[in-house]
Amino acid sequence: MAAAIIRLLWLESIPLWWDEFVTLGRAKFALPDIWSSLSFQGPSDVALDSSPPLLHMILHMVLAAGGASETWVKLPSVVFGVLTVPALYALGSRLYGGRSGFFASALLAFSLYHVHYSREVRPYSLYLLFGVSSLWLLSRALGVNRTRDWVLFALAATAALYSSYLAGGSLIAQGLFLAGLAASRNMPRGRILPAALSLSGVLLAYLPWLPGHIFQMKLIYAPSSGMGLTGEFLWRALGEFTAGSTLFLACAGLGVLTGFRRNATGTVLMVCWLLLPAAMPLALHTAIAVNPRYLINFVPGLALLAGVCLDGLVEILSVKLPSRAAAFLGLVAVMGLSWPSLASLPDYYRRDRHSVRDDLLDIARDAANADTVAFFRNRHLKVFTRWYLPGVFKDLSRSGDLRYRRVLLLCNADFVPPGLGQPERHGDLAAYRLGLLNVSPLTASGTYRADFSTMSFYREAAFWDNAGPDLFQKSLSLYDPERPGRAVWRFVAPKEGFPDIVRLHCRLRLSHGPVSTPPDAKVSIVAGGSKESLSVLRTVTQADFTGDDLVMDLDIPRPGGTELAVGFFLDPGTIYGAIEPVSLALEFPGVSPVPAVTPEKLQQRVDLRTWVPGRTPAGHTPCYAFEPFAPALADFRSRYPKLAPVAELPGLLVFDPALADPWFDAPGGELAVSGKVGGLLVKGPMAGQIVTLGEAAVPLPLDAPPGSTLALSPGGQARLWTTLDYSGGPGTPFAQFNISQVPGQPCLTCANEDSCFMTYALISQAPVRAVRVSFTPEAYGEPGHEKFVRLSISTDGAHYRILESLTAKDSELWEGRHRHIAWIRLERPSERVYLRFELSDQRARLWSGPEYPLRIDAWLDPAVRMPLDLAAQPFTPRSDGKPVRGYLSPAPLPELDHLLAPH
Amino acid sequence: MDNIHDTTPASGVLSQVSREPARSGGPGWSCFPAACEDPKRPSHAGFSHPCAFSAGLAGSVLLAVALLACLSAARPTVLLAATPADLFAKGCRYLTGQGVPHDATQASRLFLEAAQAGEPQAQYQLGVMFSVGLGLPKDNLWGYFWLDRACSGSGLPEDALRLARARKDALLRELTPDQKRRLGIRE
Repeated sequence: MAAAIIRLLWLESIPLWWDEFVTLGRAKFALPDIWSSLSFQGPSDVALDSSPPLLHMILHMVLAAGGASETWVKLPSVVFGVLTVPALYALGSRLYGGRSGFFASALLAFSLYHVHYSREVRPYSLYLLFGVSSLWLLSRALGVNRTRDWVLFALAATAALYSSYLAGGSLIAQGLFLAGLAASRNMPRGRILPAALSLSGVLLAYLPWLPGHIFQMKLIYAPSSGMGLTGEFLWRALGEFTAGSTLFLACAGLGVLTGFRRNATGTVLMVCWLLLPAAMPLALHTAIAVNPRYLINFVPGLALLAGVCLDGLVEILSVKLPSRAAAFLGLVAVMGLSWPSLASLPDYYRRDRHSVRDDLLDIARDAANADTVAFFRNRHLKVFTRWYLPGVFKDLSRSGDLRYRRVLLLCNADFVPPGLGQPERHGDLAAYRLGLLNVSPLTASGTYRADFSTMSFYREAAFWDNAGPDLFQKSLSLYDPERPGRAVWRFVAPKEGFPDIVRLHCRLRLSHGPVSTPPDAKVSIVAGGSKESLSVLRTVTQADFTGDDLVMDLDIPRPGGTELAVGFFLDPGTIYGAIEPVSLALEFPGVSPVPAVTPEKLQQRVDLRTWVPGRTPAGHTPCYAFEPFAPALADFRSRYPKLAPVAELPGLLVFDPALADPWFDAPGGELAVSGKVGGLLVKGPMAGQIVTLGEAAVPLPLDAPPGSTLALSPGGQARLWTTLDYSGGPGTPFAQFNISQVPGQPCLTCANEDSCFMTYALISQAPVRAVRVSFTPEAYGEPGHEKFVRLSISTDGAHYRILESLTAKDSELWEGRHRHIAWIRLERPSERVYLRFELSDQRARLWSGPEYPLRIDAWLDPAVRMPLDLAAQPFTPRSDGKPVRGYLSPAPLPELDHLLAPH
Repeated sequence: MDNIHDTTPASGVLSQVSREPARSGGPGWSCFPAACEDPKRPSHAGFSHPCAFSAGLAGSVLLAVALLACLSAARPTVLLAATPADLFAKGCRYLTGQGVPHDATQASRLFLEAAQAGEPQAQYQLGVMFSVGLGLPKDNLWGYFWLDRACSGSGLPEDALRLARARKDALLRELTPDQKRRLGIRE
């Protein structure tokens, strides 16, 4: 029970990390594909996953049964971790007696290291379950020599092998132990054959995976590198396994002696099981550095040995005590040994930091009318976005009907795509807002060039399915790398028709792993009179490459009709490695072009309107087309001086003002709203103003700090979120006293060595139901003095309750500076909520800014009716108080609360 | 809200406001420039208006009006905007819940603004509120500081002055040596 509770608490609070997505990335495949994909590291969103397929197959079924929530996918690991505890009890009881098993299982239940790996979507807890079970079943089989036990042992050992490559060392240890027993004639003759049969059965059962195993080992093999296992590393790892408890380690050491005295054979088995996997990193030459988790056998192993030691000590100390009292005494000792782990649990549960999940939440909240999301590479960010924002955005994986799309291009902050200006920053991510208006078919004139370093592909290609540019690799890559993809361009014939031969140049790149097994990916270059009648001009495979690049020149025979379609068919193959087009060029010499796309065609893809000077579009906003020297263009340019056109065609420029600024001002200029309203977002200082939108008056129901955004749904539900930034000082909170900014830092402290505080108020006609505050405090542990940062809440202004705090004392170090989250649901919704940050003095700090965002979220009861249809248009938005900015969402505002870390 | 600390209100804070009689014949409003300049006193870099208002007849008239406003909170009076006395009077209304919701945090915010502008009654109230943690974090140092400010001027009614001195003396006994050092108090 304790093991289950400890492993389940706040399971959803820490977001998944990349390695867990690696596991899930393969688990989502169909079952046969999981096998083939993992055995050859076949194409996947996620790269290397050096694990056999058992966990992936289990997770596949879990995903099919439940869905994609973080808690749900972590549950199998929790179950395996919890089951390992009774498995260790069984092993301990078998080898050293019931009380030893009880103490050992209690030590494992409280082990922080084991708790951690029981909460990760990685195979370690599954491996330990089968590893410990196989030891128990082996010892039982040796003892009772029943066929059933030998079969169960073989099954458990096979399952361990299919869980993790670490099981190889464990199985060798068990095999050597059995061989040693047989050689030293300590094994009765009747057991030799079943043991040999069991081990053979295990090896036979593993044979199907052997090619995959060999492939994986080759992939990581590096003859000149060792794994770096040193004595110092081993000592540090042992410290991690025991949460730094030297007493625990000493007990485990004594446990070896006690164990030898009680059951020498069993102890030899245990020691082999511990030491042989530990010796393997010494023998292996791989590019992977050793990690404590590769020695994870020590976690249950040390618990078992320490359990034996405790049992021995209890036996000595409690000669005259009844057995229950002795067991209780031992349990107290277990708690003592586990104390460092138990004491770390509160911090462990609350450990939290800024993650991609937070950035994606910000992006979704600020997306306004961007309806599609794209990625600079269709890899990590795509995986995160699919997981955290399912259904919030469309993607660019298919061309569909080529309708105009407002796109947020998401990049890592350190990647700058050319020509897209300044991005919107959301934590570690940068978002570029762009409009993609497809202008295919293209005019066959001169030389057409396509490279894949920009987003032009989406404007020019006529058709694509599961293919798009990888801006980082500058190549045409698969959107989902395990599926085939296509990309086709269309060209309209000039007046005199196409020339006899259209020359095509393209460059392709081969990427492959260090393994000799060649990738079986291929690319076909296709052409034809239309995208429906394409024939293969040439298929390129790995065999065509002499280096990493291949330049090809092909002649396309004169197409019969008025159109030429050219494209690439990409086949990902099944083995690690890819072939991707890097550039495409087509020469149409000596022809007189005809315009290929007309405003009428464009009108089918985008809502094109006539610009009315002085009117701001809002809601489901259209684009505007201008002739190059039209007077209206000058007016438009003066309104949006820096806005680039989304399409430049002969005699036609198309602009999308929503890309410049999807928000309108209230009070502001005349507003044109199209369609129904799904929600209203309001930004700016809120103090109960009434915003008038045509005939609809929307009273803002609250006073909120600057930096707040209020989201109103037609049903009246309201959400408020505020991001505070102290890089320019404390701003204007409701109240502040003795506060000052740390020079040059986005953080606040006290102005002197006396305390200070700052209070934020949410005063709302729509009662506040819940509040969540995410903040980053820091305090210096001064000898003899407590330094603190405290967050308190009050709903009556008089009585404050501490929600969350950081206190430092005596450490002589700056402590904290990691995220704290306080989330309170009010039993009685309140029209007043005060949030007060208290700081002890200038040795206490409260951080903000992109790296340490300080956020306040509030949930409000319905109080305001939002109009669904703003019929009276155009109109001039008004505010009877301070000016605000607004955004009218044509679609319902997305529900994003599941992205808030729930501490 | 559930489980909020049961912070005992200052004995007499709420009643004190309404019991204090309006002074006839106002004191000279000396504000607290001397206190501001006293190097032994804690610095107050967080204050935006240390000595915004000064002295005299106008001040005493305003004080009287402010106190009247406290007593006649049922019909709030529109006063000259943003004078310390206005702020104090408004703070009193929030503190006592007369015509507005009971709200010690609102009151403390107004008292802070008024006290920083030199309003002695507000300084006294702040001293009490800091010392008991009513609407403000409980902090003996800042409690003593504001009571000392209130006492050091001559704008406090006699009854309030007596109470302020008593509270100040009581607080002095609770101050740690370090707090005394920071307040510039020699033992």
